Amino acid sequence: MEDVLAKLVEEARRLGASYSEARFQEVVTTAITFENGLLKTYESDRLRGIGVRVLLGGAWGYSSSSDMELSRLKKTIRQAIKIARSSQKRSLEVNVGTQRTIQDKVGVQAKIDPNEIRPEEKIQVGIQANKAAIISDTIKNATTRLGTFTDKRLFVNSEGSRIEVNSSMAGLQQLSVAVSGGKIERVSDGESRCAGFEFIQDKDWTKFCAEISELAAKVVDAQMPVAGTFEVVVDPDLVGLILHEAFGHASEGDLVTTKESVLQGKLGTTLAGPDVTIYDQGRIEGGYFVPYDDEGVSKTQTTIVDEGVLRGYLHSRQTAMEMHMEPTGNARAMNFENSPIVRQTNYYMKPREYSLEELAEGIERGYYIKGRGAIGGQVDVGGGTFTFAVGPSFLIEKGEIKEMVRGTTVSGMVLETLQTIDAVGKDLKISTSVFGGCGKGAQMVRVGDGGPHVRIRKITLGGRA
Amino acid sequence: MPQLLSLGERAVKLAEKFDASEAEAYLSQTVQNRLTFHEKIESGKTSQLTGIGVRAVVGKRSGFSSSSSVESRDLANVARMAVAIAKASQVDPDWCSLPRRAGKAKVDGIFDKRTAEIETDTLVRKAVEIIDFVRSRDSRLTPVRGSFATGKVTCAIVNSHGSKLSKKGTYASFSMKVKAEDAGKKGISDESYEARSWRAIDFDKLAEEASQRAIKMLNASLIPSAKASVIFVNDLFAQILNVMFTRTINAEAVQKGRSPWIGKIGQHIAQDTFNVTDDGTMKGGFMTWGFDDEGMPQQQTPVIEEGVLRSYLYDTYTAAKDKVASTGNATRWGTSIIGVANPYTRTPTPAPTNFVLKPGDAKRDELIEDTKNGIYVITSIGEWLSNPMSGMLNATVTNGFLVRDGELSNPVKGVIVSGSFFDMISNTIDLIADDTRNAGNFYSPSVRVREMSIAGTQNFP
Repeated sequence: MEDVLAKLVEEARRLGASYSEARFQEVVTTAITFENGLLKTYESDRLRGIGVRVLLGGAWGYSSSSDMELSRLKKTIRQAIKIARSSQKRSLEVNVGTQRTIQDKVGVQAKIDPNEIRPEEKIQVGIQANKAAIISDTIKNATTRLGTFTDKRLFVNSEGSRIEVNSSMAGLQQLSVAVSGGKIERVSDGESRCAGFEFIQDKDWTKFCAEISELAAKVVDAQMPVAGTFEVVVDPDLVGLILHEAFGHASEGDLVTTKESVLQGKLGTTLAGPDVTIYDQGRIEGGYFVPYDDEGVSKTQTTIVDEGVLRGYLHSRQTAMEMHMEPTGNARAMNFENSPIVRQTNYYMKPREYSLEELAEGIERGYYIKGRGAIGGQVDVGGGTFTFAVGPSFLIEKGEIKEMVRGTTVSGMVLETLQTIDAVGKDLKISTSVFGGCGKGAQMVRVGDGGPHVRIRKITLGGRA
Repeated sequence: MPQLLSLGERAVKLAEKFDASEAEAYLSQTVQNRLTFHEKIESGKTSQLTGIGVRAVVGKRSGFSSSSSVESRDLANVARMAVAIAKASQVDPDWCSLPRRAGKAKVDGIFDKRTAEIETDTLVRKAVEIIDFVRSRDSRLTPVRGSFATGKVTCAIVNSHGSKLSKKGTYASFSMKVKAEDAGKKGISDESYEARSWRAIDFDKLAEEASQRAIKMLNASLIPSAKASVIFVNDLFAQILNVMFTRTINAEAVQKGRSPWIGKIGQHIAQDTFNVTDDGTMKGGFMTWGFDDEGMPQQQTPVIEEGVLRSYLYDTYTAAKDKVASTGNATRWGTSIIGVANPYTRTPTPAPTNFVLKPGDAKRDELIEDTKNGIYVITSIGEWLSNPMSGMLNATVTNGFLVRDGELSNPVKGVIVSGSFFDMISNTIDLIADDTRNAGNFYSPSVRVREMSIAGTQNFP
């Protein structure tokens, strides 16, 4: 297959491309859903195809096809060339510079290929976990999802790089709906790992799923938090989401070069207290596996904020050239059908010294907001507003963590929120998910995020008046 | 098209050969063009994808498998895998059969030849026009993000009971974001539109709207927390309807105990002014098709009539379980674990087609004129995080205005608007405008809610 890609790259050069790359991808996915003690659906998919990107006269052209016949692929190249020619008017005059040639093959350490596991075994694990979630009559719905995939990506470019990345992932997710006294609430949580099927085999999922149901049954009787602006302690599950939404997107080079991001022009500026250091890292325990991006650039650790000072952005080759910086390995594509764009990999905060109790101590009246059961977030990078859902949380009064409150929605302003982080905890947790990822420009990619517990002096909670 | 049908027939025969008592093949071929731009053209692409998904049933056990390769060997692999999964599955006592009465409704406005033939040069020309328009309108303005997508999809369904259907359709969408910058202040605004044809999109009007509003948003800020009236503009309320109904109004959610509408058929769940139809045959509708994703004819289904819940949305499986007829709502759209899924990779489940809230007779201006103290919300983020089970709605405002004594005043951003959606439809929505617009397959007019909680800079006691 590498040779086919090399031929395509050569063909692009022959047709006038100054730079070109070809990507082959094969993804095998299994997604099984169990509901109320029964198997609901078992979906198994194989997606395979080639995408080519060419640079011609300073303009990009991209074309992809699931039809792998060589004559069809040559047509794909011609389409990419044609698109680049059509786009030359008002083009960005793209320059990708030059990168060193890389020849490498890397993969996730997976002991058991999930595609080798028989459907019977996968169904068995899921059914047991799902049945365990039906803990009482309060639980009116229990849905369990089991997901695995393997993703093989081959990359060849006109600079002679040839890179193969094999990733593999497995995870399980539980959603429990509790009804009590006319009130209804849902709680969901999952765990995933870049690993083989051993990650599923080695864990007691019945306990995991039962705990989600217990949480749902408890929180359905809890009150909504009070609406307004509060001091909060944020747990590691949620701090990653906050960083990702409130700061990560704004640090993406393409949103900086287009002048959309509120972080544009802020390099070297102090944006947070000295306790705050933020990294984006391609390979980290618990996170997603990105040793190379989809432009063949190695992804290591990128420092975004160092002791409160903005030190870097996330870059593709193109945005790095535009800003006279080095590429950071953040050009990622959802799949072969898409051109890579600047994305986060594993975005997290470096831990410091405080315990959870010490963080709560400083709060007269606020909330301990938690990520378990949270379902995501969103940011308006230009306006600077971000928002996300939080799971079942707790009231804090006079420095003590008190009763549980229902999950709600939280919002804040990108720059302001980072400035109001006044204490950073000493723990660290990073996580990712097989069941979802981050959406941008009609592409979804998997990301990881996390950090320690942190205290934020000012965040807005939706809730009761 | 005949090619997709014949591939489908082969796949069904293969599944039957491997022991399936019934089988169904769903095939699609999509071609999509996309262009992104800001002040300059960023990048264009075209992608073509063919795929097949096979549902195999062995007795009352079913399995599903799909592939983006449709060579003979791949067809056999997909059919074999679907049967193997069916055999590994449990018996489903509620399984009735794959559709036996497939058919096609007559529909219009879903395939536009010109849209199907659009290439990158057209998109580039339009992008340049829009960039020039925004830049020349006001020197404080910059287009910071824009995209067009056009696409053509052909699709075929074949099953063991004689179904042999095909359809084709087109799509076009546009979205853009404009930034205003003045004396260190920033205002951002975005507009988007989705339709079945390129010419149905009024690019000039959308670019003008976004430009005007970006300037107004220069002075946007948080406001103190309050209880006040809230006006939701049409396409935002359409998105809210999507969040609140898509996952709960389908019969599957009801049968599985994850819907607040369980046992509510025939009951008043909303005010008399609230009428909702799922209109699968609307001319040019975003989800209009002759048949649904398992081959049943699409139709008009009254969902809420004068506030009374009349029907859930059914596919063949859930209809058989409730002993009613399918409402033609089998869909394969949605997300899977690899992201936004291609329909051929999914099994069908019931979901809305074109979900239409009937307009009222108020003008949008009257909603404002009639409001003493409130906010007018045009765009928000995070409304999709709201909880359709508890009905708790939360939306973080990105473009909004205060309303004081019947007039729009200061721009607002960052506040969270919260309230019970169930209370809204049954009690507090007191004005419905006549200005229907769609957000994807949801169609809604603007509405006013008498009172909601607005979380801003202060806390409630």
